[in-house]
Amino acid sequence: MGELGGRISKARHDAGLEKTDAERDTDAAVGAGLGAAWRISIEIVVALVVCTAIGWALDYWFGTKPWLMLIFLFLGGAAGMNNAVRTALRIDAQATEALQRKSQGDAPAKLGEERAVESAEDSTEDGEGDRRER
Amino acid sequence: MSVDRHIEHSSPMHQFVIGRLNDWQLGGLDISFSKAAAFMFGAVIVATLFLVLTTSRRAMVPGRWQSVAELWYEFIADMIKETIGSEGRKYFPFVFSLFSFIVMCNLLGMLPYSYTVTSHIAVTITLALSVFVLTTFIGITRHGTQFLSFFVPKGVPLVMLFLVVPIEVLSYFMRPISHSVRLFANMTAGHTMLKVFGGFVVQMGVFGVLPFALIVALTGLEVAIAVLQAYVFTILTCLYLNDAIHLEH
Repeated sequence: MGELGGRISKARHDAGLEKTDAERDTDAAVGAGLGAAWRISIEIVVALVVCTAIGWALDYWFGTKPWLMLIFLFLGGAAGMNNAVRTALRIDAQATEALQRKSQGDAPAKLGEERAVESAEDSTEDGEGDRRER
Repeated sequence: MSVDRHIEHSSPMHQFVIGRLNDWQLGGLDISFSKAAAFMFGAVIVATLFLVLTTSRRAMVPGRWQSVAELWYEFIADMIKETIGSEGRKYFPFVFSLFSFIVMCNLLGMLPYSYTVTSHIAVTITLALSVFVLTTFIGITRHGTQFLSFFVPKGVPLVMLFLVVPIEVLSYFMRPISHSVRLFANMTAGHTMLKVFGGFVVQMGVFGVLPFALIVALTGLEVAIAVLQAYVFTILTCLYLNDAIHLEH
């Protein structure tokens, strides 16, 4: 029976119906990468554009053309970089953590343990947390 | 007239027009029920019905539909646990509702002849601002004046603080804008692109097969983006909540 299962799964894989674990991981990585790219790229653009616009508006208000706009252009660039670098570092930290967890292996058993411990902690901590009923 | 209307309807931007379904006025305010409002109600109703119906049986061994609902639940629960930790459990209902609403709006927008609510900055900035106000409120109530230390990075020389603190404050206030623009720009760009290629199919006659094939692929991509952007919006909400709770960068 085991042999037959293996053959079916191989045939399905060859026909492109099923993916191996490695391929599924790559798919997930591509998705996560896209998400990360979107998160980071917009930060810089938005901060730069919005801050320059703020500077321009303040100039218009105070009649100090073009100085505030120039100052805010650089501040906006810095703020955008600040947000982008911070997001990148955070994604990096998360990915590293996930990798470490994976390399430690036996994930399912561990996850169960972790959950049990955490829910025990939680019930002492706050009463109104979401409790699962099973 | 008919030519004008034809041009108007084939314009790629026409799909984003907020149509009024009726005409209600209240003290000079236009409170007409719009297409956008209808689709927002639709998203809430579909999400609620789906979750209520699939979990109504509460079987020990979940069936197919119940599994989907449980996956949905666990996806958000795990996200909160990984980004915020156990303190984040309090905010699960908020994050879950936010994700469900956005993902439903995005997916309903993928149906032909439908309308994408999240392609309007007014909608996304309202969502982003509610997250911004909530996280700021949580930060202030949990930490009081300590919250201001969020804008002062550790280990920076005193002279540099005059430059760094304004940058930190600006970064903080840029958050709701980048948060909302990301979702809005993605949805608008994607739907415009689909419509533009749709126009090519009609204009190119026999060769319209090529853009048609592209549309098929792009539609698949757009569905993926609809879910991905809802995910990105939600995980950023979690990160901002984490900042407010733990006061760390």
